[in-house]
Amino acid sequence: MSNLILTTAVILGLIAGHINLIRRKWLLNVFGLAIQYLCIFIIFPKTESFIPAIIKLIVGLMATLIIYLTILGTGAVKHERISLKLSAGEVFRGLSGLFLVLLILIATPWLQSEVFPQSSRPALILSMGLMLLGLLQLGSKAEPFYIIIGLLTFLSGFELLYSSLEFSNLLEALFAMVNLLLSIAGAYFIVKDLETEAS
Amino acid sequence: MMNTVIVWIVIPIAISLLLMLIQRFVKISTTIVLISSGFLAALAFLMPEDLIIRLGARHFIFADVFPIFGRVISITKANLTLVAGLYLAVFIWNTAARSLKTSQWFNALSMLIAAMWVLALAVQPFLYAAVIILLIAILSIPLLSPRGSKAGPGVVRYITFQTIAMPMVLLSAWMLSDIETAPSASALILRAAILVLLSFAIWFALIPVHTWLPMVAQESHPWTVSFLLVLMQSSLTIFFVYFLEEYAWLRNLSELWTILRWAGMVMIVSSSVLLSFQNRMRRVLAYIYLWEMGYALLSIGLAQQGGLHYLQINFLPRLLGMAGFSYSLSMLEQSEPDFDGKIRSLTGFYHSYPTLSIVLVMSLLSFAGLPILASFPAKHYIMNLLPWSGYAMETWLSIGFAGLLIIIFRIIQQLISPLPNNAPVISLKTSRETARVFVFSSIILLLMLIAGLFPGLFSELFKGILAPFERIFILS
Repeated sequence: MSNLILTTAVILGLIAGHINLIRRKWLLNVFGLAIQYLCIFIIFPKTESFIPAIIKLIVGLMATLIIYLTILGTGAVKHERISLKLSAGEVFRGLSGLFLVLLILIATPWLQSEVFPQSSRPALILSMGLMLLGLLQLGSKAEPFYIIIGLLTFLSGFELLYSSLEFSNLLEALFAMVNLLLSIAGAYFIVKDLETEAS
Repeated sequence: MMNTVIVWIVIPIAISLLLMLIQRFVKISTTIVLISSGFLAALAFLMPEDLIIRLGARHFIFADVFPIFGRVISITKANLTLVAGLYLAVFIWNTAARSLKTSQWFNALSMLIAAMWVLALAVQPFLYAAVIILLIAILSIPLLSPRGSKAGPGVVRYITFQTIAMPMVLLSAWMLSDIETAPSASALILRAAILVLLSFAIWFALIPVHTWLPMVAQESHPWTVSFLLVLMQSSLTIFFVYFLEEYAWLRNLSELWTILRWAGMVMIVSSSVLLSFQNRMRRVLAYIYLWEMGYALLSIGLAQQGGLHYLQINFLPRLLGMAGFSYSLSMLEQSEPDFDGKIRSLTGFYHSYPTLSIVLVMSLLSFAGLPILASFPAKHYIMNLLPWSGYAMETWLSIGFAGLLIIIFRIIQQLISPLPNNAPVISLKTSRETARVFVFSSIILLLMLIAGLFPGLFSELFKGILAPFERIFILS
């Protein structure tokens, strides 16, 4: 049962990362980000208490909420229908992401035995997957909003990996600050760009 | 009992939060930041060795360790010279920030960013500084990309690079804990060394991961960019020396010092080549940063020959050069709405803005290391070390020097050229510079000359920068 939950969380997290990489729909991206944080919470290495995992979830959801409320407050959301048709760019990003995930699945046993023996396999797959999908997003998109989503994805993957290696309260506090400030920066970019377009 | 961490980190952060609330009141905000940064810099310079200030019968004892979340933040007397230098930069840049129409957040964020750099240098284990450096990059966003303009790709790329660098340092930190228990683990050493050097390459903006730097310089206000670059360069070079000081396995890596020297040389030569072809003034600032970073790396590479003294001698000259160049450029941009930032648009500016033009050229000449100017003693010092290196680096250094001279002569030629409409020089408008511009420029020029003529004066002031390092000079 536990394995099933972990596997589901890994698959869901990677799908959410994939959606963020492929689609350019703000609401969908924000929703994908929230799902990622939820999956990280499930996979998060069990330390002495649940508190670090809960803090990570709360910080992640707060970061998501900051972006969502900014979009809502500025009226930037347009009622666009979510089309199932994919553009050439979306297909390219989707296939690239899929290739990376496959690469991780192949490389994980070696990575686990040679480099990160402390990390569990689900944590390693999800963290590496999110990091690489985030990096791909950073390389394939130029708009500040999507870059921020990419950065948050990359960081969430890295935080999951690092928490399986070493735990420090101070570092967790710093990570929380980075995540919140990044989401505020994302909100700042959204507001700034809308103001510039309006003027 | 007071604490150095509270004085140089907590109080400045509190002040910056206060300044955020009163940012609209320009005079009050500027006065507070000037007084507080001046006081913090002076206190850091004057703090006695035993961290006890005696005022009459009263003794103020300062503790130098502050525990937090099971770790410690520590500012000892050895760190205080650099701390003083950082707050001195805050003081200098805030004197002109508002008159140069920088972001309204400048007063508050400059203080906060300086405090964060101090925190980055004081946190133990010091590898956690990687996350703080990322925080600093995020905090710089409102300064680099103020409201009213669309977010440029340079700022976004800057944040992206900083985010990618951070995990590499933290992962190397985790690997290092294994190296300490198994020092002969060569595979681990190699991995950790690669991660550390890669992350520093990104932080230092070494070519080819420098692309964000000219973009940011082009998009953002020169005064703001120069402030952030001065703090970044001063802190990161010292942070790198900390690495070498702390980890014997790193400094004992064969060829590390040679790699550092050549990395520095590549930076000097390539930045000077890029400079010589440059057409935009703002980008010159970015390439000057790379040129200076090249010299800093070269000096670290020559550490065993005493090269680190360059960092101490060049601290104030670099600060003055950056301030002089960015001030004159910002003022020219502000005073001449038609100036599009291209070098060819500087035509005839000397006749209207003589003081600013002189400061602009003198700052660049100072960076080049011309005699009697501020950077000359530092550049001369490094050049004197080179013949002993035995790598024929002098030739490359000369090429690097030539590139910088080309851009300087191009700028001088444009500045003194008559206007395109063939108007005679005597009929041009007389100087349009205000008294404030004249005074600020004169002070910078005067300090540059004093630093060049009496190098001992300022290098003595900053000799404490190297105080925390003792082991780096010895190969074990």
